[in-house]
Amino acid sequence: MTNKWKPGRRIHLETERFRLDSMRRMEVAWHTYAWSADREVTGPLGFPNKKWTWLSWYKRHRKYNDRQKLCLAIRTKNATNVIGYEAIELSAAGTAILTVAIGDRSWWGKGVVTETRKAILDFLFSETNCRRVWGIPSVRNIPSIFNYQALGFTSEGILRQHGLHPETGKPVDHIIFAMLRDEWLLSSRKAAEQ
Amino acid sequence: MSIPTARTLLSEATGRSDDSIPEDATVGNFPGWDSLAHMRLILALEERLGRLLTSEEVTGIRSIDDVATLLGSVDEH
Repeated sequence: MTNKWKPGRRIHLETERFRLDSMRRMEVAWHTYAWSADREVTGPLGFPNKKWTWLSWYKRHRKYNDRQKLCLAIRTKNATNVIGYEAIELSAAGTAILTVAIGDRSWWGKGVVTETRKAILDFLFSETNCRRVWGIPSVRNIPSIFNYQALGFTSEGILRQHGLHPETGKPVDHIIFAMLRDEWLLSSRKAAEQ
Repeated sequence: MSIPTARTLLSEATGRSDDSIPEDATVGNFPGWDSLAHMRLILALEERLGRLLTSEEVTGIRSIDDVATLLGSVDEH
């Protein structure tokens, strides 16, 4: 980004392998509807286990506006299909909560989230007033927990029985992970020195 | 601590040989330890222990030492 981002302006970020671009609600529904039948994608998002029509899938997504509610499509640099997305909700208090989905199974376990989330953290901490980024994955969403740990997020606590297991319907704990701006700048500086 | 057992579990989870697992392997510094390998590791631990890990145990596993400590604490009981 050459100019500081202003709310309402679409976002474009690039990493070594991927490009991330703003999507609005219609675009999210359009590019991700094929994932709606994959329970291993919709379950961790907290979506109900049901058959989704295109309209119900569209309505299930937030009204992304490139202001407080952002959704960035993840594409490889040489392809047009969307392999996943990172959603961000900014608060006026300077916090941002993250949600991620990788719908293209061929990219699971290939470091997509750690690579793209680094770019998102750089963006949030340099282009916005955000000072804290956080997420609350289910304790049974092991890949998500791994991604927060690998990036150095602090595990701040457990939300006991905060959600329901997508398959069993039983209560399941969620974990609070957070990264502060100063922590990210320090770890980025250390990584650059190595 | 059960370092050899931890090394074997991590080797199976990552698909790497035992001797390629660094002594200081952590989720952030060992390229073979990716998100799917981490899931396989947690499931292997649960199978070995015969129960689901608690939330504290799941979030406490960040290194090979943490795996060994968890296995060791079970061995002691």
